[in-house]
Amino acid sequence: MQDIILEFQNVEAGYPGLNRQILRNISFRIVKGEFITILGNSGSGKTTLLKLVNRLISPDGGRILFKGKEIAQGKPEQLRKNMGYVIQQAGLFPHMTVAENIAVLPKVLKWDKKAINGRVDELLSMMKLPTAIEFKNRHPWQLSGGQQQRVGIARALSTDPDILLMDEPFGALDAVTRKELQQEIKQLHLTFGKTILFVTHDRQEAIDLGDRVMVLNDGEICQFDEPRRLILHPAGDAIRELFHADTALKKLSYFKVSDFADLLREGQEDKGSSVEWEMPMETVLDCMLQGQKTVSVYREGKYMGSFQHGDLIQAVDGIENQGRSQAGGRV
Amino acid sequence: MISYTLKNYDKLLGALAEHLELVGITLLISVLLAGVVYMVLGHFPLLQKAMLLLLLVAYCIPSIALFAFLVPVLGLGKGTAVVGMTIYNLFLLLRSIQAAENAVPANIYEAARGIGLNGIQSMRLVYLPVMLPYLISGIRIVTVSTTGIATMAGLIHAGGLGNILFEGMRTYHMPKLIWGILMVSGLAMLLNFLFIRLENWAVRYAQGKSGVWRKKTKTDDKILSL
Repeated sequence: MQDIILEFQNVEAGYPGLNRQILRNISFRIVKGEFITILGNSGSGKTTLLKLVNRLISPDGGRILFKGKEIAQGKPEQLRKNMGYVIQQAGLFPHMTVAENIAVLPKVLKWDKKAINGRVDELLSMMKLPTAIEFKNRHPWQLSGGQQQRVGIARALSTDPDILLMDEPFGALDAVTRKELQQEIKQLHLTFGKTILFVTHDRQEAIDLGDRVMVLNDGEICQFDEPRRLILHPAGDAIRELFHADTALKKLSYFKVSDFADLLREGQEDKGSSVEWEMPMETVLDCMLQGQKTVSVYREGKYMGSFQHGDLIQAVDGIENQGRSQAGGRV
Repeated sequence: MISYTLKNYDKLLGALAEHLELVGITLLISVLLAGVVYMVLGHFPLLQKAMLLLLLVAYCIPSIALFAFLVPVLGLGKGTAVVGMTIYNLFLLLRSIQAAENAVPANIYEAARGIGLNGIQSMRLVYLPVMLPYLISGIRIVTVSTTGIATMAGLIHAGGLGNILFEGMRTYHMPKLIWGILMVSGLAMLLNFLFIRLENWAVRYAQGKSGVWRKKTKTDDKILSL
């Protein structure tokens, strides 16, 4: 039984004065350490969903549980101090320096000075920002958009929260910086294993970053699954469309060697050109592009079979066909 | 003119001191009262609108007329003057505080709440510093306004520079009249100037530009250039 860090049970939410509910019957579970991306258009309720987690919005119905306890009990401030919150334009406080911005919560929590300074330096280097005094004393207006957002993330992580909430954090940045930060946040997730809830309207971002992707449409969850299962078992045309523009290589990248075990054929064992059972499928293509006509697959030392060029074509075909014929998905 | 000045400078300075006292007390009461009223009315939006409407009507009444209303009720003297001027100031200050609150950018408001700061903490650490230039602006306007209206207080026996000015008017005494005018306008301009300096500093502080990195451009973030 894994550690469920966040759970929604039949949650309904809307804004006062609005007739219909923005979110209807939302239920899901998130396991500790998952990187969840929430994908949807404007009006799909994705930001509302995020704000329900840290009680910036109250639900009209249903229950929300964080680490097993209902979040509606106790003070919202206490809850939020344990949840990092990053918004689109960073929201850095303009009258404070970089260091002061990051140190806001530690100061309020009355940490001692040395601990605060240490933590600020730690977070700055984590976000690949300079720890020089000159930088720490800068004000937000002296930072580029990307730097501001990095400081925003550092500030959110200052109390080492259990969960990190991000609301379209890279939306206001240029394409190059966005790519950089996407890679960095993915790296951070791999290094520290923090649970992350990441709202975006960018399909590619959602699919690339998320361990599981929650697709919202018109206030309801269409599908909530790993990217590869979204490809194989899309719950509708809208979801199938998500992968429409992907190349075969991209589609292959979501799968592991073990997913295509049925395509393995008997061949000559060759430890030289081999991949492991659990490796991503693209490593097979990689080997072939480097000149190998056959790639052997091993599972903990045991030979399982080999792939040839034609098998890869069949694999991609299989992905496309399965996506087309099946419908359904688990939440 | 000069002989009058040399013989009566103590009287002139006395009037100036009285005037400053009037303005100072009125300001203190106005600002504190405005703060309290604003916080209380925050919980009753309907009452807030009614109050602002009432004060707007009062503000449209010329100062002499307002004092004329108050004298039968409160009598002559400094107290009445202070009450009248406070009514005017309350209107200006309440609107000023409202403008200051609206000036806090939405994303900063959201960020402060979202990271876990409670009401008092977010006000102290985030909102007040950002609102500061607007609040100071409001107080500046109220100060200048009060300085001017306090001159009217001379008519209801509240003392101050109004005394000198109106005496001069009544008795066709030029030095008194001139000194009255000069001192009131001079005081108003001086206070305005000082407050603008303060306001400009606050603008730079709120934007984080008050440090070594200040750009040395000519029209550098100033509200007014005097």
